[in-house]
Amino acid sequence: MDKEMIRRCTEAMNEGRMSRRKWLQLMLASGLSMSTISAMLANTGVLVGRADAATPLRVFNVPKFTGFVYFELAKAGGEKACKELGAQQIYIGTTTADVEGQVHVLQNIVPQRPDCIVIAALDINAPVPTLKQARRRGAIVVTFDADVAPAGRDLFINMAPFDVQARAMLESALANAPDGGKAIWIAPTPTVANFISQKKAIDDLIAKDPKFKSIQFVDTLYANDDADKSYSIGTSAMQAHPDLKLFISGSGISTPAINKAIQDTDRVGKVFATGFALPSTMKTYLSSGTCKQYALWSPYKYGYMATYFAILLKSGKIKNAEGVAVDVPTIGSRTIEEGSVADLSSMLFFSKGHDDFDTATPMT
Amino acid sequence: MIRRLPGWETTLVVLLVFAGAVASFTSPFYLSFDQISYSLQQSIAVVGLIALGLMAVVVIGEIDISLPAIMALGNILFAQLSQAGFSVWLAFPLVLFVCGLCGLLNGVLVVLLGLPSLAITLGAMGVYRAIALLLGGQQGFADFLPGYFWLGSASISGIVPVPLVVLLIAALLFGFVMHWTVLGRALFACGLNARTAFLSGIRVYAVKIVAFTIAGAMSGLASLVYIGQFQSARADNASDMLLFTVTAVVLGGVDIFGGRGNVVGLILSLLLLGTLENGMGLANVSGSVQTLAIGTVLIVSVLIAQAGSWSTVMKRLGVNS
Repeated sequence: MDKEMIRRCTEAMNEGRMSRRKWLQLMLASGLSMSTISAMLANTGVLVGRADAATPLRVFNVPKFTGFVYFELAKAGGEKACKELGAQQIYIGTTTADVEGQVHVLQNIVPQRPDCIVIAALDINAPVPTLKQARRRGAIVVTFDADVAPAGRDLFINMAPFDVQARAMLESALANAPDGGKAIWIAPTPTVANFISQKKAIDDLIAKDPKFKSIQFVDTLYANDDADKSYSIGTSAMQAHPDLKLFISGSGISTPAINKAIQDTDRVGKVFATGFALPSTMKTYLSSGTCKQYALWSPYKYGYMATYFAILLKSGKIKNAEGVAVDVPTIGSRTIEEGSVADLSSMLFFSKGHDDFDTATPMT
Repeated sequence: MIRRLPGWETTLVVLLVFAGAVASFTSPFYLSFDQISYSLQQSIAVVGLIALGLMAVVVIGEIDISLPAIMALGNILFAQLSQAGFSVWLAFPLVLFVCGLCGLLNGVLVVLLGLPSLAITLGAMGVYRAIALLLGGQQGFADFLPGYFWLGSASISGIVPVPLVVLLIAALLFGFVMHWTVLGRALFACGLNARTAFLSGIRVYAVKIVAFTIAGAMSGLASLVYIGQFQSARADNASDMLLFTVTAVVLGGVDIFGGRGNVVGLILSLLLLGTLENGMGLANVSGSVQTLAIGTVLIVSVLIAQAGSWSTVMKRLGVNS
């Protein structure tokens, strides 16, 4: 090595070393500041700010991610339940669907001694160690939208049993195409459990109920919960099946995207895309007649019910046991079933003139 | 010649103390040893182990963005080995070997093809993630044999979390290798000027491959800690970990173009990022603001750490000193 090289290397390596004096100074400085701060805090009494009996119950609402209208509505529902029952809601989550991020959010909630955690989990297992810890410290954990392993939660609020979901989608399909016809099922990927169960319930219902016999599934396609992919898959499927009548999807992203594909390819009235979707994404298609009806449960009521149960459980007003029935305002009587699950089952139909959560028609 | 900031580490320590102080004021729950050590082990242990490996690669003037994917592959391998009845003592060296092999493969490709490591490891990232998906599918694994969780979840006499101890030991070893051995000297030399290093008798290709292999193996170690912390494994684990890892390395004063950096700075930057996250989390700062804050820290640190010296920064900002 030439001299310059050696010098620069040595310099680079030496950057890792600190003189003992410098190190000592650093340690002293940081130690001193830390102790000063703690002393100051102890004096001002900030450190004593523990929750006492007078403060309301604190409910932490953790969505899959923030900024998505579905979870914002669930948040509003939770807020209403908190107001009615005298609790305080704290809404906190990550901006993206990030499993580790959600767990970190929970880890930062645990030291705050939460009374309740209401969470839509991104992973069935990863949040469990942290949720267990929260429960050991006395928190009630209620999951909604997506569950965790039973050890991590007290109660799961299910959107609806799969046969109810299936009926909501098939009735919407017939509302679009009264004579039924060839249909394609759109799921995100072949392995998402939710969608496998939905499709199975749909198949069962068609086999069982003659009303839905006219709907024949010719294919299942995967759009990865992605608008662009749904659009292109929808477009090519309509070319491949010229006599296609229906797209049915449980994905709130695929349904509006395929409606757009139908509109763009001038197939309005010939092909319909229905299933589940969010009202904000479907208004234009309802008013243009591209889609006549679709379904969804109410995320507002979903958040409301999950929070309602959490607060009642925490305050000891209800017992978490199979068969316990609770009269949930505006929703009805709901029973805790085997495995600590309760169903929301508030399916709504959306159609022209009934295109938002306030005006939608409840499924009977 | 560009001079580095006088005492970048000092700056980090000051920032760290400041962040801690702010966190103490904004949340009454922050200032307790249990809380801080628990939160830090959860937020920086896994990232820290990967960041140490990444540092070895960045120092030689390359980058490996496939490390989180290698770790996810490690997670799935641990899950499969556990289900096949392997004890952790057998599984650990095996996974370490496979992850090291992944890193080695990256290194060999970079050296052989002479393409930018960003491009190669971007491809490799997809490949390793796909292998993890092929092996593990989309479902999660939570049934591990006893022993697999120890490294990531135990604590020494109920006080010091083991993951922090692992990180500390790894950092000490890394510090020793990077700053006190021939290999460390060779790494820095390759990063400063590969041609000069070659002419000086350093086997540049071998050194580069070693750096990538170390990074891969570190991801394997991080994998076992991850499994302990989250008590589960899934093929899409750690898909959002890259930003935090790269931020830690750059904020730690490691020159992204190679040849400069040290382990002390990296550990300090990890502590700083962990404290920021913890403090903001306890104060219930919304997720978007948190992401914004971490992103801003990255930009500012790139500006300052890479600009050379304070006067350069001032000049760039148009301030005459």
